[in-house]
Amino acid sequence: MAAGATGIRAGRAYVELGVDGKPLDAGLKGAEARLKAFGAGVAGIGRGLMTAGLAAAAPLGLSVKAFTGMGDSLAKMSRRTGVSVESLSKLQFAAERSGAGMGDVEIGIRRMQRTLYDADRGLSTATDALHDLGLSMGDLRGLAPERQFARIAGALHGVGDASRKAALAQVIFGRSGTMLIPMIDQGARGLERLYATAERLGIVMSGKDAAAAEELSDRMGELWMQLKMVAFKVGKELQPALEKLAVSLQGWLRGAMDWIDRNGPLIEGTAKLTAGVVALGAALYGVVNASKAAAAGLGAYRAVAGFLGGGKAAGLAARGAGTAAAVSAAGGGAGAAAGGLGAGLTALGGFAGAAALTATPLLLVFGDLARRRRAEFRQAKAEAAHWADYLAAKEKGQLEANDRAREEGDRRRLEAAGRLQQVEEAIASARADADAEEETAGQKRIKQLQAQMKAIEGAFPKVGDWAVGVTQERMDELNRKADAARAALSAQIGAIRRAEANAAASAGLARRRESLSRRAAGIVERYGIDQETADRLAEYQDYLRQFDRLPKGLGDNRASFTKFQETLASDIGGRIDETFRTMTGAAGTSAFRPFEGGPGGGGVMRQLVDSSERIARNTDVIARKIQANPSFAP
Amino acid sequence: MGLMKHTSTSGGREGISIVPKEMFFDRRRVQRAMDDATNIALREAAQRIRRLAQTSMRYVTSTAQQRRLIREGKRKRLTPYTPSSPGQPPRAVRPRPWVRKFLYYSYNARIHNAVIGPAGFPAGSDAPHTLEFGGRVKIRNVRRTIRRLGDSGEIRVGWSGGSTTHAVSDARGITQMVSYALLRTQAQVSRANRLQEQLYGALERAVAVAPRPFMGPAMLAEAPRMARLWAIRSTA
Repeated sequence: MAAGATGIRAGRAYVELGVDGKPLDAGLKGAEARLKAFGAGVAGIGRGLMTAGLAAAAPLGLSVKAFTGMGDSLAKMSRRTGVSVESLSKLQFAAERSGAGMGDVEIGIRRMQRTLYDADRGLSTATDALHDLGLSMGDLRGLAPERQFARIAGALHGVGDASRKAALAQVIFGRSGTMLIPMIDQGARGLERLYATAERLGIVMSGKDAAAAEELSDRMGELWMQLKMVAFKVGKELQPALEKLAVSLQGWLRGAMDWIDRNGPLIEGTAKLTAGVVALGAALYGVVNASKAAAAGLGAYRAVAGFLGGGKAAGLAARGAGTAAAVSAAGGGAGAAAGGLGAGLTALGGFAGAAALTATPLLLVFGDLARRRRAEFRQAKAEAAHWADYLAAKEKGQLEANDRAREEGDRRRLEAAGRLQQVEEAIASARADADAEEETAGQKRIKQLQAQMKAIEGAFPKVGDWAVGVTQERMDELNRKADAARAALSAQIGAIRRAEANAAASAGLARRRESLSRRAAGIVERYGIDQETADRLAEYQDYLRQFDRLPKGLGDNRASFTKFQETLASDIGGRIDETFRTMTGAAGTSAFRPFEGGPGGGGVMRQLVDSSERIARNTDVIARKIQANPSFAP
Repeated sequence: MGLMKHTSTSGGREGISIVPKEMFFDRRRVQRAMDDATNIALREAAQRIRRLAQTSMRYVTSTAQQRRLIREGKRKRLTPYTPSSPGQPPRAVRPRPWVRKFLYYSYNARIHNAVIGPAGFPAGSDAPHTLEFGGRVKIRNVRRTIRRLGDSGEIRVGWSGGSTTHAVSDARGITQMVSYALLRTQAQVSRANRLQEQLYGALERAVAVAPRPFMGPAMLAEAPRMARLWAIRSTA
C-alpha cells in the first residue's frame, strides 16, 4: 500500500529511507579506473608475451617449415625412386658435399633404373655400357636401387679415361651423370665414409620422420586449402552485393562518360589548368632549389672567408665581400630559378585563360550543387534540432505531468481520508437524526392510518346502502331470471306434456288408424282399389316411414311410442288388409262408396286418409320440437 | 564473463565463444543493477517498517464501544483497557484506530526515497506527531455545557429549597446544591455559564502527553536487516 509522500510527511511522524549514491559512484569509478589500469598492465604483459611468443615461434615455425619441406620431399622422392629415405639422406649429404644437388641424384637414379631396365631387355646401348664398366645385369638384378647405384658408381670410379667415364655416366645416369661424377669419383669407400659422416652428424633422416613430415605437410596443405575455401566462401557471400555495386558503378561510369562526351572542352580546360598548376609547382620547386644553392654558396663563402680572414675587421670585410660574392654567385642559380619561374608563369598564363574559360561553367555547376547540398544540410540540421527540442520538451512535459498527477493523487487521497472521518461523524449524527425523524414519521403514519380508518368507517354505511341496493337489484334480476327460467321450464314441461298428450293422441289416432286400416283393407279386398287409392296408400306409407325416422327420447313415452312404431311397422300390411276387410264388410251394400261422399260411403277412405295425413303432420311437428329441444336428446 | 564455454545444440560439439563487451567493466550496467536492487530493497524495507509499526500498536476497544456492543448483544462482558505506558507504542483504540489503520508508505524510484508514516489526518490534527514525540494537547471538559437562551440552566448554588434544586458533585468532589430554571434573559445565561465554570472548571484544559513512539522503534528494529536485503538482491 502506498500513499503520497507529502501526505505522510504532513503527519510529522514518519520515517524516511534513502540511499546515498555518491560512495557507490565513487567506488564504481575507482573500480573502473583500477580495472582499466589492470587491463593496461595486462595488455602490456600480453604484448610482451606476444612478442616473446612470436620471437620463439619464428624459429619454431622455420623449423617446422624445414621439417615438413625436407621430410616431405625426401619421402615423396623415396616413393618415386624406390630408394629408402635413409639412403636418400646419405646420398643428399654426399651429393651436396660433391657440388651436386638432390635433384641430380634423383634424376640420375631414375635414369639408371631405366638403363638397367633396357639392359635387362637386352638393348645394346645399355648392355654395352654395363659391359664397358665390367658389369652385367646378373650382378645388379635383385639389388636395392641404392646398392645398384653404389655398384655402378664403384665401376665408374674404376674407369681411368675421363671422357669415357663422362660418356658412360651420361649413358647410365643421363644428363645429370656429369654432375654426379665428383661424387662417383670418391669411389665406394669414399661414399661409405660420407655416409658414415652423415650418420655421425645425425643428419640422416629416418623413414618414420619423413612419413611424419609428409603427413604434417599434407595436413598443412589441407589447412591451406580450407583457408582458401573460406576466402572463397566470403567472396561468394559478397558476390551479390559486389555485383550490385559493380552494376551501379557501371551505370555511374556510363553517365560519367556521357557527361565527358558532352563536356569535352571543359575536360580539356581542366587538364590544362592541372598542367599549369604542375608547371607552377615545378617553378616554385626550382626557385626553392636555387635559394638552397645560393644559401649553400653563401655558407661556403663565409666558411672560406672566416678561415682566411681571422680578425674582426677582416671578418667584417670578408662578410661584406661574401655577401656580394654570394649575391653574384647566387645570380646564376637565381637566374635559372627566375627562368623556371618565368617559364612556369608563362605556361600558367598560357593555360589560365583556357582553363578559366572552361572551368567557369564547371565551377558554376559544382558551386550550385554545393550550395544546394549546404542548404539541404542546413535544413536537415534545423529539422533535427527542432525534433530534438520537441522530444526534450515532450519528455520534460511528460515528467512534469507525471509529477503533477502524482501530487494531485496524493492530495485527493488525503482529502478522501479526511472526508472519511467527516462522513463517519456525519453518519453518526445523521443516524441520531434519523432515529428522531423515524419516530416522528411513525407517529405521522399512524395518524394518517387512523384518519384513513375513520374515513373508511364513515364510508361503511354508504357502502352498505350501496351494497344493499346493488344486491337488491341483483336479487331482483336473479328473481326475474329465475322466473323466466321457471317459466321457460314450465313451458318446456308443458311442451313435454303436450308432446306426451300429442303422443297419447297419436297413439289413439294410431289405434283409430288401425281400425280404420282394418276396415279399409276389408274394403279394398272387397271392392278392389283404384290407382288413386293406391297412390294415397303409398303416400300414407311414406308418412309411416317418416314416423319411423322420428328420434327416440321421449322419456317414459318413448317405450310405448317405439313399441307402437314397431307394431305399426310390422303389422302395417295386415292392418291395412284388415281395414280393407272391415271396409269391405261395411260396403256389403251397393250404396257403399268409400271414396265418395254421401250417405252410402260417407267418404270413409277420405276421412281415413285425412286423419292419417293429420297424424303424420302432428307427428312431424312433435318430432321437430323434440329435435329442437336439447334436453330431450337421447 | 567474456569467455565462456558452451555446448552447441546443433552439432553436438563443444566450442568457445567470446562476447567482447562482457570483457570490460560496464559501470552503467552495474549501476542499473544496483538501482534495481535498491528499488526492491527500499520497498521491502518500507513494507516491513510499516508492518512493524502497525503491529506494535495493539488493538483495544474503548469502554464506550464495549458498552455499545454489550447492549447490542455482540459482546458479553466489559474488559477495562489501560492506555499504553509512556515510551511504548500507543494503542489502536476501536472504533477509531486511525493511526494504525492509516499508516502508509510512499516510494519514489527516481530519487530512491521511501517515506513511511500515518497519513490522511484532518488539517491541523497533530495526533501522530504528538504520539511519536510527545507534546501538549487541549482536552475538552466533558462536564461543562455552554448554556444558551431558552435552555434550562443553573441559577443558584447553595440553596436547598424548591423542586428544581438538585445535589451535584463539583470538580473537587464536593456535593453542592444547585437550583435550575429556564433561562429567559441573557443575564441568566451568563450567570448559568459562570456557575458552571465555578462548579466544573474551564471548558478545555491542556495536558502533557508523553511520547509513545511507534515509527522510530520500527525503523530501529528493521535497520539491522536492511543491508541483507541488498546482499540478497545483488547476489541474486
